[in-house]
Amino acid sequence: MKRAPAILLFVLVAGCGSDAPAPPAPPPPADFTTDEAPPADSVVFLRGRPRPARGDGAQEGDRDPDGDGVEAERVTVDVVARGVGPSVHGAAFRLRWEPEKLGFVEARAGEAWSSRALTLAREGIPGELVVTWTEKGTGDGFDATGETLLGALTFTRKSRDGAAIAFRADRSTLRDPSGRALTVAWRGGRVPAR
Amino acid sequence: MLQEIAVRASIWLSSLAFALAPPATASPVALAPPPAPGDDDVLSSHLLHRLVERERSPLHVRAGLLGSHVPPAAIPRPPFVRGTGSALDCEHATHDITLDPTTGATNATVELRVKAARAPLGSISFALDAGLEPGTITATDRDASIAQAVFAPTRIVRVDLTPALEAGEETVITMPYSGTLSCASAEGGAVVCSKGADFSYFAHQSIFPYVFDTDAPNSFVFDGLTRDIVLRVPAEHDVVATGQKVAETIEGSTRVSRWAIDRPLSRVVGLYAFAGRLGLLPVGGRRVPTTLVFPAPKKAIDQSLVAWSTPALDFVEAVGGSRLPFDRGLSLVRLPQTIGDPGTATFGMTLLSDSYARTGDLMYEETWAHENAHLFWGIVAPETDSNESRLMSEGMATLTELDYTFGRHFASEDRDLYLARRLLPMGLDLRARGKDLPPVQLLPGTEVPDDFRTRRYTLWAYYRTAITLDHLRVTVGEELFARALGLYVARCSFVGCRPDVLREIASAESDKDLGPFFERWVTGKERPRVLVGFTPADGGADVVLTKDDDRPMTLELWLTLADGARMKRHVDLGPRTTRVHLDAPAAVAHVAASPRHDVLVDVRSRVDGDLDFDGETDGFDVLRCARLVGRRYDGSSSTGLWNLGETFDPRCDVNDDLTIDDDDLAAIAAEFGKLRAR
Repeated sequence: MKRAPAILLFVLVAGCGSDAPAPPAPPPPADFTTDEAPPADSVVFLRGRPRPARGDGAQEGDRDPDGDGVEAERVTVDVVARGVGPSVHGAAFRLRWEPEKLGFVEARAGEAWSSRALTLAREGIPGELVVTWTEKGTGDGFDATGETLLGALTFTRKSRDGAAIAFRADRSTLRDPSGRALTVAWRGGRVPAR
Repeated sequence: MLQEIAVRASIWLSSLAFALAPPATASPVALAPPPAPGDDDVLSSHLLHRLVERERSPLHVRAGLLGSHVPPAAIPRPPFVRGTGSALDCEHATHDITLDPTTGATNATVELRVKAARAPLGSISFALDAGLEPGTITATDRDASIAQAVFAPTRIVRVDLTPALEAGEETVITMPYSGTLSCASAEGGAVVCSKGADFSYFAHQSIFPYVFDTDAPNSFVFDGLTRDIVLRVPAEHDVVATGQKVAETIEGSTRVSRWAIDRPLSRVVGLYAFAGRLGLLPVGGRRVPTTLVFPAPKKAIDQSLVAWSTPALDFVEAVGGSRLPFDRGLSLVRLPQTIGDPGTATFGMTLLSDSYARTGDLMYEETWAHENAHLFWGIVAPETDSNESRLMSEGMATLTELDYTFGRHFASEDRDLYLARRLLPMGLDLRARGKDLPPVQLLPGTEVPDDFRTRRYTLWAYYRTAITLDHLRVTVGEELFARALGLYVARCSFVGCRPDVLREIASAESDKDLGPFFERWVTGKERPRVLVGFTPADGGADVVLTKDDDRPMTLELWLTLADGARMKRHVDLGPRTTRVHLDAPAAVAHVAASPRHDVLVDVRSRVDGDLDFDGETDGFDVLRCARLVGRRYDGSSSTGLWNLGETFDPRCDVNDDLTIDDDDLAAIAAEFGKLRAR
């Protein structure tokens, strides 16, 4: 059900009959669905990236490193801010998931951050990730009025079960250059079962 | 002229072997330090260097002049170093002064009843304007021989008594003196008098001789002196003097006014007279007639001072726990900047230079509150020896000004955070420049640093004292502290008390021995480290507090609940590790100490890098410091009291070098991700 928009897009694109060359094949659907949540003007949410197709950079060995027959697919989610305002100077958040279902691989800060920015990520305890991306010193920060990629997080599946990835809103914040907290909603999501 | 004076001084010094110390410490009641130099060149030179230095010199004799002629070994050390006090006990003085304020022509007599306290007293000295010369000085029941010298603009008259007064004996010394006031400038440009028809100013050491122990010129031991003053000036002059106005009559062409200081006061507390066409404005809303005195014509700031006076006086009375005992009247004086006197408080009189208007209304008003607070803290409740400590004079006046400004201008803020914010730069100044300062209360044998008589005095007398008092207030609780102050005033009024009295009262009221507190922070200067850890538990939190010694200590802990609510709990720390369960109605998210402890207690989380005391090191800790990278605290001016918006965060300064930089952030980042197990 939640894949409907992507499938619909595929149908519409394929249905555009013309003499033009055929467009490239669309990426496979993302292995992630963002939580439904009440609409919020300012939000930080997780958004799944399209799953790489076989042969599209994925190594065979990557899919079952444990040899237990369960494909250890990587799941990458973008951390996206929208409607936050003209000046984001720092972000700190925590995410929780069931560690027997997902493993944390890495966090990468988005290009919105300057080259001087401090980027820290650590799975402090199994299933709880602590992330900070922040500019240092004084500075205007960057504009996140529109949709802005703060960074990306990569996990591996450890099981066929679905797994939720949830923000800990009480320990998550965006700050402006003065240190003032920016009011945002935090919306995680779910890696679906296979 | 300078050379001549120097020669005279040299001769006199060598012939009498009479060595005066350079000014050692402040008079008992001094002004709060001025705002940051650099912001204002005039303030920088006028206030910081000239006025404060002068204010600190009850004996206005040039240090440089004396220093060039007195071998260092001959300079007496302050009495607290020598371990002995002055034998001089001044009991009563009667001043009869005929003065032409316009020309400075003066014809006066002082009768001084003195007693030898605890030890023989063979000599006393007077300091007065160099233009006034003594006549024949007499002493009852003994011979009085005199010697004198001029240290422009001051004349020093030494009176040797033969035989010396034995301990407990007394005599009355009568000194007539006359001449024309020079009102010359002292080193740095300050004056002790200013002649004129419009607004003339006559301070201690001009028409009022300043009395001191020849053998202990810098002794400020409280002696309890009362005075009667008769001032005769041309009838066309208004006149206001220190003391309670007893009477004023016109006798022919002369206005005769009589003033009384009818409660025991330290002999070193300032005496003032003002004459001329004085600006006078009544201060409404006070039970006792209260008048603002200023140089006419009236300025806008005079109306502001009037408006500030009633709330300021009401506030200081509320803090002191009683009414000011000046039943006949109170004079509040705006001093013009030109006379170079920063201000002070004395018996029934508060004075403040309008130089402080440059600091802006808020700080001018606050300083006005500080000065008026001294009516209690230093005048009504004097210290036994203001060389020993300024805890209950400058410390209380400074604490009062912070509290006053909160009530008047920041009452909508969180009071704890306001106070912590005000104390922060004062503490940073202490860290920057005052680490090796002596403790709040000097003990016999304490070695005073050579450069003590500089801005470091401000750190010691104002900052450390006020910070310590607030720390005590948080420790014992607001209500108990307020009650203790009222009891202190009641016990110490016109008597003189040592800091120990506050300890005794607070201990009795709290039923807790505050000796360890005073050992740590009053006679000692510790900043003990306390580690705070906690585990959320049903109905509250299990808290662990660790320190490195066995002495007791009390901290006010703040429990921040998940919904942001704050609960305060006082916790007594025992030896080393203290474990306590603290009840709370909801999940506890943070356990920290009140930030008002921070300057004097190094409170840290047990988890390195956890700056917000939630027991974990996460992005909130990093974000707190990241934006401050590049910030440096410049404590060179020691003007933290004037700093209302300091944003330097010492918790981000991990290596304690007063700079927040990449190294500090790296140290915090190294601990990043330490989380409590679920």
